[in-house]
Amino acid sequence: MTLRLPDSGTLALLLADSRLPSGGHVTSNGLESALRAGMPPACAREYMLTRMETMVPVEAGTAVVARHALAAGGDADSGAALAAVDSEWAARTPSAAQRDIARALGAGLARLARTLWPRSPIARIGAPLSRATVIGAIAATTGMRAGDLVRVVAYDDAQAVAAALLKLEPLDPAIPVGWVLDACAHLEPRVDALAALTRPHAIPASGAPQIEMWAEAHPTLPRRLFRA
Amino acid sequence: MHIAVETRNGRAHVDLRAGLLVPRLVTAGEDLASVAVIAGGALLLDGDHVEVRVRVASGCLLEIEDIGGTVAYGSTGTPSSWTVDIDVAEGGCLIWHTLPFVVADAADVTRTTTIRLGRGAVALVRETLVLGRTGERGGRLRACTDVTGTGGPLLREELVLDGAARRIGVLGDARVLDSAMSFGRRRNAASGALQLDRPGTIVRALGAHTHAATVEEAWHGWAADDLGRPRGDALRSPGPDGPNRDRPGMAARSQRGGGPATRAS
Repeated sequence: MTLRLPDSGTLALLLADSRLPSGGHVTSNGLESALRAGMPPACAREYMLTRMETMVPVEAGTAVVARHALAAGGDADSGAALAAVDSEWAARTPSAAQRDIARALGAGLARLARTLWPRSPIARIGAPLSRATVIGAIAATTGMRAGDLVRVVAYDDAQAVAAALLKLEPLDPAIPVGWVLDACAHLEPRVDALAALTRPHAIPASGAPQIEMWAEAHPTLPRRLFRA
Repeated sequence: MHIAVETRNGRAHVDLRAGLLVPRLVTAGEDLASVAVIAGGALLLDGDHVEVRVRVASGCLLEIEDIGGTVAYGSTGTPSSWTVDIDVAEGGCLIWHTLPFVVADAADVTRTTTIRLGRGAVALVRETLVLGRTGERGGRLRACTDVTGTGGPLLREELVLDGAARRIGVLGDARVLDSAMSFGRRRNAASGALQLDRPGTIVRALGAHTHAATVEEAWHGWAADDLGRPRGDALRSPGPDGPNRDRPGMAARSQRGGGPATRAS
């Protein structure tokens, strides 16, 4: 089978599409636990902006560096290269609950990638990797541009919060769509710098302690709608 | 300031050098030392750069206790920094009892903590960050923590806090972030603790005041556990119930009990 390689922009649309069968719908990106902890729904916009300043640079930086590691290295050491990037991601993700959901989403995406791009190094890697590392590996396989990769990670992060908000709180669906655009615009000045990252050590390490504490509380919530 | 402990001829040899902070030897034993740290003058003023180096040699235990917290003052807007560089060699253990680090209005501080751990080494570090003195909103603080073990990175974290621009999800409305951090050894902790991917545990409390937002209980439990543990235990046995726990000689060492604990519990 030949590699399926449409334009980078088309791949970005594919990876950002909630209809993609990779299991992304199971996460609210911490919104559910934030609301249960007392955050007013109207603060979801600010919540998205905080994520753009903290967790999104970590995720996007990891994806870009994983993409670079595969693009720069040979096939032989691709597994070790991705594992090294993933280990830097894990050190920047102190919440086990956040690592668990990111690896579950990474597994879903890797499953899809194995079918779509069986010759890709990602198809041969058995170890559980985070979603950020897997999406970076897909970008390397498909020739997706680093800037598009950063924007997909950011858009997906905010859109997951917006979609979850509509399930958790009744409001005009157009309102959180506007917040998603605001959040993506908030990251835009940093996109070029994030897209230029190459070294694992240079991946941003920005933390958000309150979100991490909420994430740890989430698995103990009764009657929750989302897995994280 | 420089603090280093190693064993020479069966005794702990402690090397202390003062800077803006001044170390004082409290006790020293065969392979352990206890050091108190006091400020050499008013700290932390605009433009001050505090540098601390801590070296714990293989198999040694170093306990450091801060005497008096730190206020980072701000007036001219000149940034200040607080840089801590820690090496704990194979089987060594560092326990650092810190006091609150208060970032006053208009202060602009960068705190950098770098820790390198050898095989089986443990670093137990407390960090209590406070935005503003009573009645203040607090200044700007960038707190970077970088911890690496022999197997790879344990924690890389950068917290950007600004008392004038509190963020939902970072500290929320809280003024205080208290953290008990164990690197190199995973702790049993209540749900809500951050269990790192590699061996290590962080327990955090967020709140309005240091007396309410505190991790004191977890901290003292961990410190007591490490002080009562034979040195190099992590090298010799997989855990507290490992087969070497009862080896002759080890029991006698552990009977030093609380060791040179200087902090009343």
